[in-house]
Amino acid sequence: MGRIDREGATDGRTQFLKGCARTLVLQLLSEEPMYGYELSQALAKRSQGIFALGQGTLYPLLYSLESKRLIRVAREEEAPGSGRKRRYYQVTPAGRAELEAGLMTWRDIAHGMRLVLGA
Amino acid sequence: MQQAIDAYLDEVMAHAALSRSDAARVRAELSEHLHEMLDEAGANQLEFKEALAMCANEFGDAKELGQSIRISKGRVRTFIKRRAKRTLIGIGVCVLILLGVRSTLAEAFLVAGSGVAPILPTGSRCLVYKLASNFSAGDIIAFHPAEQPGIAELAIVQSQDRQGNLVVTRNGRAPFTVNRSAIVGRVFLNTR
Repeated sequence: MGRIDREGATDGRTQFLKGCARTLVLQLLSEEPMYGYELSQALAKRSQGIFALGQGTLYPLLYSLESKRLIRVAREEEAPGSGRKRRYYQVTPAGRAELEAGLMTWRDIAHGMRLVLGA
Repeated sequence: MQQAIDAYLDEVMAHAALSRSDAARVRAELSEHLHEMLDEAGANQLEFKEALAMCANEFGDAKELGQSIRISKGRVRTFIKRRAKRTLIGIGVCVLILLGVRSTLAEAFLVAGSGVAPILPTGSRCLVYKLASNFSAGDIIAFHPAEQPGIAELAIVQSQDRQGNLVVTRNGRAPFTVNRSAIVGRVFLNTR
């Protein structure tokens, strides 16, 4: 029974983190263009590991944001030494508007949670 | 390490089923990520299985990742992109065939005047067989009038001489001759 509860809690946490990831990715890319690996590292570092998304989540999210024209490829650069290409993403004007909406939603949720939980 | 990355990405891309250009781009991007991750972990000397496990640990199950990418790229968009080349070639071939048929075999005309009414009244459409060479009295033909060779007119055949020239009539006109070279063809279908 305890195992089921723990799995349920883990699933809930994963889903919640995924829901937040969209806003967080837009936020980071609004600060400066980044490529995928750099973005995943920045997300993990700045959230102190809380938002260490599985990369299986990150790239589908990036492609989804790109297909909705919320982000775009700003430039391509070769990785030093390897010659492999890195694609730097940046937020579009539509992405900035989406980010603002996401931030407002987040502030409302955080405010409501604090009010109820008294934290 | 490279073999492990290739094996993992082969499976991802098989399930992503993207257009060729998208697949190349996504594969390059994921490959760069895995190389950087493995380089940073100092995993250059890893065995194939260990490197493959690290890839799966970083990105998760290859099948799930491939399917997620497929969805995020948009199934309709991907379908169109995958079929675009084939569809364009198909349309091009159809257009060429239609142009070929129109210039050699048959051409459609809209009847704009009343020269052969009431057999073909104004506003009806007709299809002209352009390879016709023998005509009988009563056939309706399309021809280019000498005074306006850029347009086509319809007329009813009265007779044909040995050279292939036709004596024809139109409403309100006396019978006149249409040179063989000015004949477009015989009307064989109409929407009257």
